Amino acid sequence: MKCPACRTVFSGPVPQCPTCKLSLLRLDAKFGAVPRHTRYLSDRSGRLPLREIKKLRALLRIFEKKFPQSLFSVFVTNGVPSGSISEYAFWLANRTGFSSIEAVAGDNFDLLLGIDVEAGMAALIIGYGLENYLTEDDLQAALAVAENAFRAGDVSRGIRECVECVMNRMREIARASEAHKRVGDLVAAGANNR
Amino acid sequence: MNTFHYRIRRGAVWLVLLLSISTLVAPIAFSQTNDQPRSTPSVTPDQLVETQSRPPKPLSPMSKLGVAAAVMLVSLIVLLFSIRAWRAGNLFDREYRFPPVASVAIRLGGNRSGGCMATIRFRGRADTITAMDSRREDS
Repeated sequence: MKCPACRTVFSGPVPQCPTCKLSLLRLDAKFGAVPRHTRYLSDRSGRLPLREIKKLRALLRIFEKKFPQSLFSVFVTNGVPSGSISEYAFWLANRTGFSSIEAVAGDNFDLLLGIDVEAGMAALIIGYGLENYLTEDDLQAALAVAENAFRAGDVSRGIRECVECVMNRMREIARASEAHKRVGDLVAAGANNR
Repeated sequence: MNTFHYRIRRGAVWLVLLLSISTLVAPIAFSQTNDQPRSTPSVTPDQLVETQSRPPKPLSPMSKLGVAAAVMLVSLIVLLFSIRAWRAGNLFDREYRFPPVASVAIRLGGNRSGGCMATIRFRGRADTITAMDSRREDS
């Protein structure tokens, strides 16, 4: 795991980053009040056309239908005040009520894609519940898929590609997990029969 | 109308289009082609000879097979695209669930997310960190 601010690698339950002392409380002081946001997609940059916003919301709704535990949210901003998008995404993922209040710790399967159009940066963050299934490499791959579209200035296409990539990967993982569980059940049933 | 409805409607439009094409093409492909042109009483013998000298070429069995194969290929492609759209639109309401994680180590004070993330810089300074660079850095 890396610190969202200084990218120091750490493992285990650390209350703050061992290098830069970053913690959620510090970010509260840094960013202040939680920005206005809406379910699925919040465009604070004003760069996304309304038609595209509607299409993306429909896609994110489909995502939620497929993965009822997960809510994929997208937050597009025009610059993060005194911080980076990775810090901001970490703070938003913990402070905004994108999903239900009960979705905490291992029950949080949410994803948040933060895009800073002005700085040209994007961050994709997941809740604790998904950490056993999606790796940082998976997240990086999803961003890599969207990179060309972002670079070309087509933010909505980039978001769509990123969401679809995550959707496919999560489907693969869920299927593999189901198959693994089925095999486990069969083995257990076999052992019981003996 | 959302993407889901739009895709279903698009699939339906494609199917209707395919059916229209097949209803137009099938009679041509499988019709009897040895019809003689009808002569009318007003036609002079010379004109009749001229007309009869160029009889329409009947479709060979290979051409008929080709048309049938093309129709089948088009319908297969349309079907594949429709299935893809239906699957993407979750037409069959397939749900995927993950077993919840029993215990997690809370990091950096965040009770929803511990900062497991990936970042890219897609524009900006010369020392740009792209997704590829970030991967290289990790490895």
